[in-house]
Amino acid sequence: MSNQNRNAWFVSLEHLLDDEGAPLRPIHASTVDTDRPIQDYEALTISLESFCISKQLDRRVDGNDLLVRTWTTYGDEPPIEIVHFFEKNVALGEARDNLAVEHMFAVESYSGQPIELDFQVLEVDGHNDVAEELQAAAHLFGAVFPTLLPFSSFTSTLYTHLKSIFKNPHDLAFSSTLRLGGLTGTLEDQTTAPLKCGAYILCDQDIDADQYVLRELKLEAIASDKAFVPSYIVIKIVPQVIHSVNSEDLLVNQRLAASLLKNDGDRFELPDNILTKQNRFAHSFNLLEAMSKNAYLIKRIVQYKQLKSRHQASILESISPRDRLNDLEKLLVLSNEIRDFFIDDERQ
Amino acid sequence: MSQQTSKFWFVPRKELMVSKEDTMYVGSSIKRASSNVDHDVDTMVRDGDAFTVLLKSFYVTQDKDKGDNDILVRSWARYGSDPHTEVAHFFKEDIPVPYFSAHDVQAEHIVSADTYLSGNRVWIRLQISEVDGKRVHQISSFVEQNLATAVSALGAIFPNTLPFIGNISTHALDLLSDLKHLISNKSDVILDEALDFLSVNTGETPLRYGAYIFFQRAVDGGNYLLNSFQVHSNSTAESEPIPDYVVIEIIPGVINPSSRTTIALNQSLAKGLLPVDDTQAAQIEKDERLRYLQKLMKQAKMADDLKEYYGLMTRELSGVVLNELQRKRYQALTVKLGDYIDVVKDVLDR
Repeated sequence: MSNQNRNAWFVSLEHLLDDEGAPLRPIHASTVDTDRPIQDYEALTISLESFCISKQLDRRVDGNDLLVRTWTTYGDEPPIEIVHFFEKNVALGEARDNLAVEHMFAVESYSGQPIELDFQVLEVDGHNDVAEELQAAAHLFGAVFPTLLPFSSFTSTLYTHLKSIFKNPHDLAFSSTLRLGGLTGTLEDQTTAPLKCGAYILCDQDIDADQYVLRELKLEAIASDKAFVPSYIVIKIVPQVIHSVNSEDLLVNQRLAASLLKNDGDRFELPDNILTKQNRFAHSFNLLEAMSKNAYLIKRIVQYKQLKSRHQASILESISPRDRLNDLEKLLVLSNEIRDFFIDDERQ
Repeated sequence: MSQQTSKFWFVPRKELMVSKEDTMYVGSSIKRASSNVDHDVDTMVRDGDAFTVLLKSFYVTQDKDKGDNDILVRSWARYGSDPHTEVAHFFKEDIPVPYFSAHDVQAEHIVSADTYLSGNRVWIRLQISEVDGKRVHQISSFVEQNLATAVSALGAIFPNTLPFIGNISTHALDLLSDLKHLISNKSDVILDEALDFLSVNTGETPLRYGAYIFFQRAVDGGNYLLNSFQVHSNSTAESEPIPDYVVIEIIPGVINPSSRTTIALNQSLAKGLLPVDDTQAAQIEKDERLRYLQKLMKQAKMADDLKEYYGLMTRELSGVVLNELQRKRYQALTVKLGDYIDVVKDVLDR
């Protein structure tokens, strides 16, 4: 086996519940029968399942004050940022799972575009505990999308706290990037792994996979309890839209979050390479514009329906021919607008 | 005949139209905005109508800065239960008094609706203020240089959409935040009046096509005439100085001042974005705005689904055999979109 990507590993969905724990496979390993790749038109949900930090960063007390944030970039859409976790004094090497705000990304019909996932775990010593506020915000939006926080009066405190956390210097306890899906035809493409159902394990260093298993979505050393476990993060991909919290609106909020990049100085910056500030504004504007345009179509369709039933009913009633003609004209205009929407789109 | 005094006065559209043809015309008499509807001359905005509200002119007599007023004209409008929009119409420095402006209003659009539903209240607030501060010059020249861009891109200057336009620089954003600061700290209000309109008979100002005059103080309308959106003293009446005012016009149809996109879309954008002033009122409106955006996004997602459905439908009609996943998705969409699909098919069959 080549020694490439020895810090990123995969376990298929089929084996996640294995009692003995499942062996790790390279993320580029060729597909076996039990693998379940995500195909076009399929639904999928990506969730953050567990993580563990093994190095001491807080100089004053044992354990670290940790905050976990992720960004998901779907095709050429702007990244969706989520804050998943905050806890003070997390003991070294102690894994955290069942995060309650695990949602990263979901789509009802996968379009074949690549998905990029960026992860950061920060050591944020000396800040207010926002754990409870995160839970409350997750309950409100289905996940903690920082770009949505300024839009709700219920989350202004959390927003202020997060702003101050991100503005102040902090240590990076863990950072990693995973690219999945898209054109997987290039077998030797080491930066993009196939998009399959199962768990992806990202470590902060190369490991010997034979020494570890994934059990209950956490990384475990086979040898003994005392064996070293590196810092890692585990995500899971399943072939459906997972509804947690108030997920009726989760997908709506997710798309809103991507569209609403903030417009003041204290923005939640990504590593610079993703989008420049100007581009992000323009991008965000275009997305909102597209959203308004689409919403407009639905309004038009509803109007068309109403007008049409009114028109049909009017034939039986004593409505003046002039008013009926008026309605007919409006119907024609509406139907042209609706048709243009589809035909225009076809040309693109 | 003596009428009650009021700040709000009205000239029906029919009168405004006549005035353009008659060479003997000196001006139209004005009637109270809340006067009873006279069906011979008044035309109400009706159910299903499209209409636009425009800012036509304003008049300033108050001297707030030794004859060199720096004037900002803004409006806020709310349609039904939607969040309000804010529009900047005019910002220029060193304006003498008295000053009448009709042709140099930089952006006319206040609000429009493409399908009026009766029972939806239309609320309009107009404000003229004098803004003072050391960066006024920079800000006003920025506004003048960029207004054209903003108007051609958006059809109106919705301040809360400005930061989202790609070609507006960071420097401009700083100036905008300066302006925001000036407005909240160093501005003198010259006129600030709001009026509610309704099409149904509820005792509120009837929503009629025509021109509305917002005076800075209550006047006896019998003393005045309106000609080309300018208020004149009625020569037969005792001459009383004309107070500061703003004239708006409600016209049928939706006017698109922008070449690039439709005003309705940008207006809807402006409703969704957070306002530039982060005042107490803006805080309260946050949740309303969020709900609005969520509703909009829900509809947008549905449109995306419809497009996906249409794509699959076209494929199937052209004889392509769908694979299992595509077929499953197609069926799921058919169930989900039922009513909408009927309309799309109906429209495409025509």
